[in-house]
Amino acid sequence: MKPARFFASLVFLFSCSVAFSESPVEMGTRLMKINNDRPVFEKVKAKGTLTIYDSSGKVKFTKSLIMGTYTTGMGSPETFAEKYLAYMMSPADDQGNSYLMYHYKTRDDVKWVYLKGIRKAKKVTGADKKLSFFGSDFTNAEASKPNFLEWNYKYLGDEKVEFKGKVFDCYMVESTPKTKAIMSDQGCGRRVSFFEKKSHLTLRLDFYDENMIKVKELRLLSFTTKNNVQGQKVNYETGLEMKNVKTGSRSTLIFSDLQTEGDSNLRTDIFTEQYLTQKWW
Amino acid sequence: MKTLQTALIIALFFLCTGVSHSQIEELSDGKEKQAAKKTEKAEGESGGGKEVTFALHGYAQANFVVSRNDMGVGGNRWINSKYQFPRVGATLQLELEGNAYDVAHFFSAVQIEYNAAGEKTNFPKFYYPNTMLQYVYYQSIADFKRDEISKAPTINIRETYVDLYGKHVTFRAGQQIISWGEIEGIEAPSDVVIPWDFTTMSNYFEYSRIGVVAANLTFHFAKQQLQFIWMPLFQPAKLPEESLYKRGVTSIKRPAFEARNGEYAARLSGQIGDQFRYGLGFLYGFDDMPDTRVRMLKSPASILGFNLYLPNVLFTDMYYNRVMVPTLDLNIGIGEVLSWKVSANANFTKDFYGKRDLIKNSTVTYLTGPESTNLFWKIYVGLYLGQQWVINYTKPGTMLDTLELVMLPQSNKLPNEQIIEGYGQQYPYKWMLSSNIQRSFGENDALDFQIRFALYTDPKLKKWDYVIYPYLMYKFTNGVSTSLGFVIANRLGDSRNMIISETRYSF
Repeated sequence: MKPARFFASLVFLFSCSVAFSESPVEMGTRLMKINNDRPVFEKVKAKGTLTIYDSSGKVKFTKSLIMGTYTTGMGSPETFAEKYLAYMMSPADDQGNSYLMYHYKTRDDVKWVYLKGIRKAKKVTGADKKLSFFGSDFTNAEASKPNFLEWNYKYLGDEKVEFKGKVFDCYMVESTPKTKAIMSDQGCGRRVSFFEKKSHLTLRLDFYDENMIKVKELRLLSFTTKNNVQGQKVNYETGLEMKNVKTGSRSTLIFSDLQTEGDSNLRTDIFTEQYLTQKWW
Repeated sequence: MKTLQTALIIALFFLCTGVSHSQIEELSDGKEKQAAKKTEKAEGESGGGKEVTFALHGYAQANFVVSRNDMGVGGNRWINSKYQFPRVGATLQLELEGNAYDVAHFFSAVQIEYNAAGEKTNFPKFYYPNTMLQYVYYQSIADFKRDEISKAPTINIRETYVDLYGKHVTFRAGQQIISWGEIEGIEAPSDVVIPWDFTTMSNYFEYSRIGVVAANLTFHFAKQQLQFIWMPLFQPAKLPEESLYKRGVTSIKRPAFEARNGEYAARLSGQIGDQFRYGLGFLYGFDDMPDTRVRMLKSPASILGFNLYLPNVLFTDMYYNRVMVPTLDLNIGIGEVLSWKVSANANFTKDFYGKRDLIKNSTVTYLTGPESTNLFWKIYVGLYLGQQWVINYTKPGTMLDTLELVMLPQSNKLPNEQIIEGYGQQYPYKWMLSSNIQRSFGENDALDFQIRFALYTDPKLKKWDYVIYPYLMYKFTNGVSTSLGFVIANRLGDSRNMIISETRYSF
């Protein structure tokens, strides 16, 4: 019994030190750090379908694109770079437009867009984070991963969230922008994340505007689990739904035909301006 | 013992939440899709052929344009009324696109347009356009008849080209639109390779460009591009009948289709760091806008013992001169908020020293200013201020001074005030302010508002030319949109306005 008691005491002390010695801010920060540092795939190729519904629930626009991502420097935030290339397949008036982005963790993203109407690849400048993502209920900021360093975090408690008809225990963590400039840039004053305790998948995310009024609610619709090139298990979101609680409209973003790592046959040299106008998929 | 058991349970609870974890993993759609994909992949590999693809796209569009032209009845005989419907009909554009693996690409856009208002087919011809006074108002001897109008649909091949791709090189051959520069949505000075269509009556900016037949070779290396272009056939700008010369510009001589009359261009562009982009271009080609040639038949007259040569017949025609055009583009990022852009060209004509009275002088033109995707209120704005300097500027000869009128022919010179005005070289320099402002509104950003404007003025800011073009576009659903544009323009004292409506279904 002695070793068992000793082991139990150790476990108890350890868990106490983790669970009870942390303030809500520390715990929130730690949890979000875990969420932020979740393993990712080095290479992904997928077809994305963005469906935009109006307030009466009718489909207003459906946009599809083919996208490739290539992540380098996964070991550290300083060297981390996620390169993203997308080509619009439909609707017909958007077909041929394409988009290239380098997403960094410690500095500003770099973006290019090719608009077939003007026959030019242009570098996008300006704070476009609160602009709508292709006219959907997502903003550009919401459609991409937030910069961990730009927000303050606070653990609010636990909450149960439904996913595919089952209820899961989630951590509820509040994120608030560190500066007014970030708030204005993102058009968001507060976010409340509900992420599942073991997988750290965000099952629900509430967005509040600059006046702290809840405006949108993001829900996870589906995900897939695979190992990445380093052998780590990756939970990859393949379906998201954003509801605008103010207007009643909603948008879904679904990734299909997902191919990862070696299966994707994705070349790593395509993430340049040259491939905004050249077939790579 | 109970305490320990409780502690153990609590500890286990905090260390792992295995119950929910195991459940949520079961809801992952990875395994099923992976299996499906493996089957698909196997099919793809065995079937092959999938990589050679063709797709047909395009649009059908209804067009309605109302125009009001102050020049109308007063300045142009071919227009009977100030108000017209110059474009009423429909356009069908078919776009065929193909890919052969990732090594070749084909694209063709053919436009078929029916205009119920008809197209003027028997453009005016000029017979002995003599005398200096009539130089400006040629319409008095033009032979245009309003009843001779063709309503047959027109077919326009906007683009048809083939791309070949290497790892660091791309080659495009065929009729194509080539766009240079960092500034878009306005007439950027460095965008010199292809000509402008000044007759366009469309809200879509892309239709102000005319494709050229070219071979276009681009090397890509270390975030830089080196481009070489050969255009065997010169394509000039398309000018309206009631042009800035106040005459029909149809009898312009084009260079013969000979190898020596090709155009050549090269450009090095790229990115240095994340915040600096540049472009250095050079075009050896023809000026897209014509020069004027006037030939005099003079007869000697003896007045008070002096021999004077007085012109009795003037032959006037227009033609395109060779030019050399270096261009410069800069794009300097200022934080994440905006970028500062420069677009410039030098247009070196045959008359660099300004010694010849009818050939355009060389010019240097630049526009510079900030651009931001969203500086505030979700507005995209590009605002550019610039100048056009005439190199070795010479004052135009006037037609008002009688002595000068007599003396000019003696030195084989001609009164060129109107011509210089037509060239836009009345002053040593002029100011330019150009902008493109855009914002989306409404649910799903379905309503797009855009305003483009260009203002030109003399050094003393007294005479202003302007084009102001507000435009609205509403997207109903996938591929269905309608647009309404208002053109408010004043050039060389002539006011022109248009309302352009286009309703489009893209497929």
